[in-house]
Amino acid sequence: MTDLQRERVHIRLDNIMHAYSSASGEERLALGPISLDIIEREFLVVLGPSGSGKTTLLRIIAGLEMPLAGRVELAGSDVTDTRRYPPEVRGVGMVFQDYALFPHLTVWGNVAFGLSGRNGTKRARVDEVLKLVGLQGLEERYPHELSGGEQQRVALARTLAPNPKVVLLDEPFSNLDADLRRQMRSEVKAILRELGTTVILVTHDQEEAFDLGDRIAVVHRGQLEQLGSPEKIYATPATRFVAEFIGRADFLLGRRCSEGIATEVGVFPIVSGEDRVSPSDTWEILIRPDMVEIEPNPQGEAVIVARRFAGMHKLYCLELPSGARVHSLQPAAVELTQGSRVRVKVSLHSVIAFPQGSGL
Amino acid sequence: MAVAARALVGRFVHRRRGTRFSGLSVPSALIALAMASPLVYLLYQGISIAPDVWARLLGTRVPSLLVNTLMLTGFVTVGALALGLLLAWLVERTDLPARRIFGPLLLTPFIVSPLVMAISYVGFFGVGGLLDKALRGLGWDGAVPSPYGLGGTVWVLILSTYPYVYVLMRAAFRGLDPTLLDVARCSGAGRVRIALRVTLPLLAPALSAGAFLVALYALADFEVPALMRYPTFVTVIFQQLTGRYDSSAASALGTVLVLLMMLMLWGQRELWGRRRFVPERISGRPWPAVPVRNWKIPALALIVLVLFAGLLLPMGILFYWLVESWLIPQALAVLWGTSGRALLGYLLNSLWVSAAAATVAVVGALPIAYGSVRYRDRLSQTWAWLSQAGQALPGVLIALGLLSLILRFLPGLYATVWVVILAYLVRFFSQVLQPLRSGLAQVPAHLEEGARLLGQRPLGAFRRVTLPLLWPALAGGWTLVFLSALRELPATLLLRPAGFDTLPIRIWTAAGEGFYAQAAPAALLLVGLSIPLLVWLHRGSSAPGSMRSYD
Repeated sequence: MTDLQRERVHIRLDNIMHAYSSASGEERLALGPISLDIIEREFLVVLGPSGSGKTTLLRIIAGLEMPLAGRVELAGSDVTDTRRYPPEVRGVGMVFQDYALFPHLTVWGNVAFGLSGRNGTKRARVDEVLKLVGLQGLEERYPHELSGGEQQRVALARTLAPNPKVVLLDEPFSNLDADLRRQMRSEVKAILRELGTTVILVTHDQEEAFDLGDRIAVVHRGQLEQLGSPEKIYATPATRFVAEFIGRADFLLGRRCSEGIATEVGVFPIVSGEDRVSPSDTWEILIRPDMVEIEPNPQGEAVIVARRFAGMHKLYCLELPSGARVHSLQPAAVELTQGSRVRVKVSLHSVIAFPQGSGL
Repeated sequence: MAVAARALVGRFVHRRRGTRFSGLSVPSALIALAMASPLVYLLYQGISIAPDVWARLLGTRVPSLLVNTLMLTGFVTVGALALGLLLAWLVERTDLPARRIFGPLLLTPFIVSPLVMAISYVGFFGVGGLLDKALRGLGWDGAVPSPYGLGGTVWVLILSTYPYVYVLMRAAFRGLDPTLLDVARCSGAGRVRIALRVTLPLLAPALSAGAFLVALYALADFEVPALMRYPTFVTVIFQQLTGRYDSSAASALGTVLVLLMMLMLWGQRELWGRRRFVPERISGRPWPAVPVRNWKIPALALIVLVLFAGLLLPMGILFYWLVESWLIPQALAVLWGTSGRALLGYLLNSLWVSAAAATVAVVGALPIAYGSVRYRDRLSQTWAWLSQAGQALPGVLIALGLLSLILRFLPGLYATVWVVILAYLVRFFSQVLQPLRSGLAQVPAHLEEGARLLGQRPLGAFRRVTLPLLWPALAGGWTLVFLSALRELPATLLLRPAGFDTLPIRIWTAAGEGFYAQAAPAALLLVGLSIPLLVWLHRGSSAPGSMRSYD
């Protein structure tokens, strides 16, 4: 974090708020208040479930929406007012979820759309960008004559052609099938890394977020839940929502005692920082499946109630005496039948606990 | 948190997409108000008529006219509905031979405009008409069936309106999901039960839309009842305006007619409301064809009869008149009553007025369509709604409203071509607004936004992206208005400057003087002009749209 702070802030969102009224007259707060700094040349992934306001965030940065309140800064200058700073003067490129290729223009026409100048210089730039995305030879095709992956590449090439300082990607891979998605992801990542632009990508797919993001901003109901590196967000989720949304999570109830927090699978010491919220008697401890070790034992306290085979490993669902359930990740070779009893050992490196009922 | 933020924000942005053009609502408002003003003024006049005039009219003319008009509307609606449904069913759902050929052929009565069809029927069956002469030549001196009155009017109107129902029902039959039939069969339903419980309810929205279209048409039509001498609201209003210029009686009758139409509009909306849906076909499998068996001959006979009565007979009569006038050279000049140059004059008049109206309509509809599709705020929707006030309104009423408005506020415009063009605009504005709106809705707003992010200003994005994609809709809307204006009679008749004749006017004048044969050249020209336009429109509506990959 300290490394990043030394770098220059490229986009600053300061207490942004936005709301829509739908056609039925129903009003909905779409976003905010939210504050976020995006560092120059970083790859930020905005992760959240659908309807969390991610796309609205991108549209505000692009200048397609004007926030109802708050401030948007681009490279140090205030561009909140979309009438004074309309999208076309911002130097911000965006790849839309549906690509939005112009159906009446060829690949060449699409990519050259944002370029000005003489045809010769345009041609050079279009060739360059098409080479970058690996689309040479398709210049004369129309969008409907391209495959999904090719359309995606054209959309990216069109966005990159005018050399934007910021590239926004709105769920760019969601229209591709699984194999192609993985391939395009690594290609796009490599291209954007090479260009060194500031990138903000919006997705609801945590795998994508982990793969691409220098930092991840988890957004829920228009609010920023947590901002940090993928590792940090997985290991120390700031809220219960983040814990549940990212990776598989179970929660066990525990009580505060002198040594820490006591649960039915053991007592966990409190590390500093876990008592940041008002003291509470009952806590919920985050348990991830890879922290739960099991050992077959007829006298064991837990019963295996379900198991799921996932190739390289198996996921067992255990029921504890209280009725609470936790999951355990085991190598595929471990063979335990449903209904058999096991002994449970949970080893936590650091305890993540949320006060019960706090809503956090 | 959200509540607190909402309180803080205090207002909400209407969700819109695309570009916000500042000041777009100014032209929209002006155009919409101009389009709605004749109707509004007409109603205002109707309300401000002295009570004794109302009492006199309600006591004398209105009841009989109401009965006449409703009878005509009812018979035409039922007839066109039955004929259109039956023909569509034969073509789409049975194994009738040659149904692929009859499919498009049954649309052809569209090319004969109601005016031309009416005049050919009157000229054929009328006293001293072709049939009369031919039978007398054979020594027959009995009566020929009269084309006048309710019967003839209903007959001609059914023939010229059934294609609307036919087109809608064919689409509806094609939209039926065959798996529904399988489901019905598996649950043990017989043929009658399936027809009553499955097919008919699924077709009901299209049927009601067709009925509504035909009913409004019959209610508003002028030329057919006028030529067939059947008094309806529209023809009597016309007489009031031309005969003794009793504009207060005309306004009163017009008000009653408008109320009648509003009642129908309201009824249609209440009846189907949100239930009006476009059935989505799920499986690509066609419905199994129903065998016609012994009904083959009657079915084919019906189709042939419709084609004969709706296309061959009127066209044959027109050609006969044309040839006859060529064969008797000395009568040529008298019969035609006009030289070729005069005919060219009518043609050019028709063409330029129609083209002007179509072009102005397209340009005027653009801002309204853009606002109502992209912004979707209440104001933009209001403009779109208001601008279509003239939709389906009888030309006679539009002329009446415009005439009163102009005499009162802009007397300089009285009896100029501009008023004629204005009347076309008011009458046919919705014909261009609708295709533009659906065309715009098919252009994703993302495309405009993408263009903005690539450095285009609002107008640049519109010109370079939206306009090229909107081209088919623009051309389609233009053609529709052009065609409708080309065929327009009543408003032209009431508003034109003296001596300004269009093709329909020429036909009407010839018929009024009893020289039906004189109408032949103009009528054939009108039909000839309609053919390529209608073929083009039909092609355009069935061809896959350019935006297909974005649906």
